[in-house]
Amino acid sequence: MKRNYDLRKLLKTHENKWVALSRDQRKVLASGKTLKEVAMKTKAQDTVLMKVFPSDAFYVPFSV
Amino acid sequence: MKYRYTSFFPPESNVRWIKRPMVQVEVSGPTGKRTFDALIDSGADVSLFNTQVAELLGFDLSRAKSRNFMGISGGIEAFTLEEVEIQVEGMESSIAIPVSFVQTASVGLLLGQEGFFDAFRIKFEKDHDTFEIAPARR
Repeated sequence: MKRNYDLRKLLKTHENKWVALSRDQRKVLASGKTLKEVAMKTKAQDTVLMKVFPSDAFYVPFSV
Repeated sequence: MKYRYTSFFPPESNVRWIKRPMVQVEVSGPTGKRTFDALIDSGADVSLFNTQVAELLGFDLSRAKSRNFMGISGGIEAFTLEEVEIQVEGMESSIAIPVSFVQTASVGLLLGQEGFFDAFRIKFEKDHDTFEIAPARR
């Protein structure tokens, strides 16, 4: 399946969390406060892990 | 290889989307490997990964070199490992790059100049919604 490059709707409810996405980036398979928690939930699955940032601000990396 | 920019939700209603150059990379550590979406950041001197990545993949940061970083709104301490193996999707072989691990909520995985931009020639074409990564000629 073709990869989804538009994550606006998919990630809207997962702000400030780590998520595990399907490889085609069409489904959120797990989400949680910590990466370890999300990775454990999807241990055997072929996933892509990602940190989701808040939607109320522009992202400039490394603003502490 | 050409990649498409990824769209994220915009912080203002008059903006349709925020587009970022994200690429899938498989990161290998002492206890396993996992695939992540990483942001390519030509403005960062080095690659930065969240310390949770080190914890997940079993990297021992107790022996890592401490480095200080200055960001847009302050400084932070990071722990640097000289060789972390990553495999960029679409590339034939993996590479080892230095990675600094930071404990902050504002960094997931960020691929910066040192190592990553040395190994690959990266061309951003945002006006075409694409960017290109190719092995650098040595």
